[in-house]
Amino acid sequence: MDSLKLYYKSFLLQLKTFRIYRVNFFASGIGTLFVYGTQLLGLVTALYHFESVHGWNLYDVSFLYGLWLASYGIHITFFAGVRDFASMVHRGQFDILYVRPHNLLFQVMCGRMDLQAMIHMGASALVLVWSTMHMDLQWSWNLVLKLAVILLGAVLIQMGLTLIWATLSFWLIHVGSLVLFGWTINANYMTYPLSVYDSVIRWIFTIFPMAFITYFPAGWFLGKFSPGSWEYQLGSFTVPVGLLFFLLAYAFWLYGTKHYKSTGN
Amino acid sequence: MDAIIVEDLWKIYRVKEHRNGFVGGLIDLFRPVWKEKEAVRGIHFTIPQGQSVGYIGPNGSGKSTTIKMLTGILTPTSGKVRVNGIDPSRRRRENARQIGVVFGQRTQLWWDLAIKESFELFRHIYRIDEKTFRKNVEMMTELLDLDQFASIPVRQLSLGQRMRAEIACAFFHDPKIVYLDEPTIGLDVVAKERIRTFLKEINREKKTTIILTTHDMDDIEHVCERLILIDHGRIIYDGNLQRFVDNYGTDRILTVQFEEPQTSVELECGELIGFDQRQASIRFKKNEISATKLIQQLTARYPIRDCQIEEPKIEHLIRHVYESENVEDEGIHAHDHISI
Ligand SMILES: Nc1ncnc2c1ncn2[C@@H]1O[C@H](COP(=O)(O)OP(=O)(O)OP(=O)(O)O)[C@@H](O)[C@H]1O
Ligand SMILES: [Mg+2]
Repeated sequence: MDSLKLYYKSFLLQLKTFRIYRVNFFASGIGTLFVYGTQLLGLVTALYHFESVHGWNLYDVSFLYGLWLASYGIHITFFAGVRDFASMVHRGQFDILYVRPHNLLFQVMCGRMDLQAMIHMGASALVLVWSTMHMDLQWSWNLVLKLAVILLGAVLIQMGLTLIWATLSFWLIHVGSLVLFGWTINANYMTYPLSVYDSVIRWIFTIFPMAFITYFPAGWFLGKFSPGSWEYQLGSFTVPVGLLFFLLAYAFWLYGTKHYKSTGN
Repeated sequence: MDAIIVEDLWKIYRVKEHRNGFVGGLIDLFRPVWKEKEAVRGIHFTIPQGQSVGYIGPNGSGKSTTIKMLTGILTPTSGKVRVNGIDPSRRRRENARQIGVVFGQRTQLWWDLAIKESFELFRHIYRIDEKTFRKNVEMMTELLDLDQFASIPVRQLSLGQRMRAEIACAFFHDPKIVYLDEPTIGLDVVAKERIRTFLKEINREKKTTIILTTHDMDDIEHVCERLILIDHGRIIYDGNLQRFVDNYGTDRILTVQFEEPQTSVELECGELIGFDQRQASIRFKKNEISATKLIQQLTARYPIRDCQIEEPKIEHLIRHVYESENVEDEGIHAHDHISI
């Protein structure tokens, strides 16, 4: 309870500082929309020519994209501080969190909230609604629950990934380009059905479970896999996989916090 | 009761050696060369509750590293630390509840907001009850004179103003121990003076244990009763401050400029260490003669335009300690721990 209150208070302070940087917010908001808009446009033009790839048509792939964007947006709502953790370590500001009586990761989450997440979520909602409108899904509570489940699993994996990148900054000084590399792989590979890739890449993304952000859960949700197939099984398992992955990432993080070296001054 | 117990404490940093150039950078990535840096090398001390301790030493001697181990930021390489019976690196959160920390080089305040907004957040961070919090904020505001800039965004404050607010933040939750790592860095005399008075006052009123690192011997002389001197990761002096000052810190250097060139300087007291017609430097012991007396003696004989008094530098004091150690006790190695 106290923690929730602290989170809320930090959020209120963030809102106050946000008022100061309004212009900056809108400028970078437009930038964000532009990046994702271009990506989506690329997707649409590609599929316009081919109609479908491996049984996924334009709307299916858009749904996949929407799922990625939604999970990324929700995860950024809470994990903006973790995403920007490298700079915190770099400036030596992480020291301060150690001398306060709260969980370290929780404090990192409190320290920064990025209102850009609203843009991600707004855009993803549009894409998801638009793509599902063109499918003949039988909407029921069951289906809504299924959607919530795959979102949850996807968010957990996004969080696990971001946490792993953040943890690397305990040992490496410049993780910035590495994180960008990770994001590029994530945003470009996970927004297409995994089946279009070479089998080595498919294996990699199944074991390092990025394919559980979009491909398996979306395929499961949209009925792309025949029931009983291994893809179908995996698709229904995204939440346990996400939970396990996040816990492993958290264990890695805890290990990192014990090896924190601080900075010279 | 002992607030802090430190036994045979070591911290060795492992740092990467960097090769030159792009190719070197690539090789670094896969085959890094590690170098070990012994920042703290087997130190011992115990500090009773309520004591005010000055922790000084030259740049890179291991002060901050020690503070970081005491506060739970760094895990020691080996050795024992107990703060109120708690091992800070294992039970960090428990320890954090009882301590306050000020880092001169870091900020705890929200850059874009007024300090009172940050203060309010501290109430939630430490779960301070409303009444205690109000009382403490009032007390800090008065003692540190924060009122005049309480509603200006932190980024618009002067360094001295900001530092005062940073210090206030460390005291709201009535900590038993407060660590201050260079709280006076870059401040002018007036700002330093205010901080010293505050620390002294709070140490007396609230019986807060204070650990203060600084490069300014004056800070220590005003605030602390005990001095720990560290050099190259080893403690070379630990004991009463007054005795230290009497033994090592009494040298002052007075430099005077003459109105007209002089051919020679006669002194009743002190030692002439530099002279070039227009200017003379005199070393004197402050327990033998006060600066004013010395200046009076000089002005009586020579026309003096300007004068300047230098405090002994820490490096200077350290050399003194090493020298006197070798003289007094040949058995002790220059780097060994001595207690006085
Ligand atoms: N994070 C770090 N990684 C590697 N080496 C470090 C780190 N922090 C400090 N050192 C090294 O350890 C030694 C002790 O540093 P420390 O910061 O404790 O000194 P200090 O006494 O606080 O000095 P200063 O008066 O300059 O603040 C120095 O040689 C420094 O280069
Ligand atoms: Mg230091």
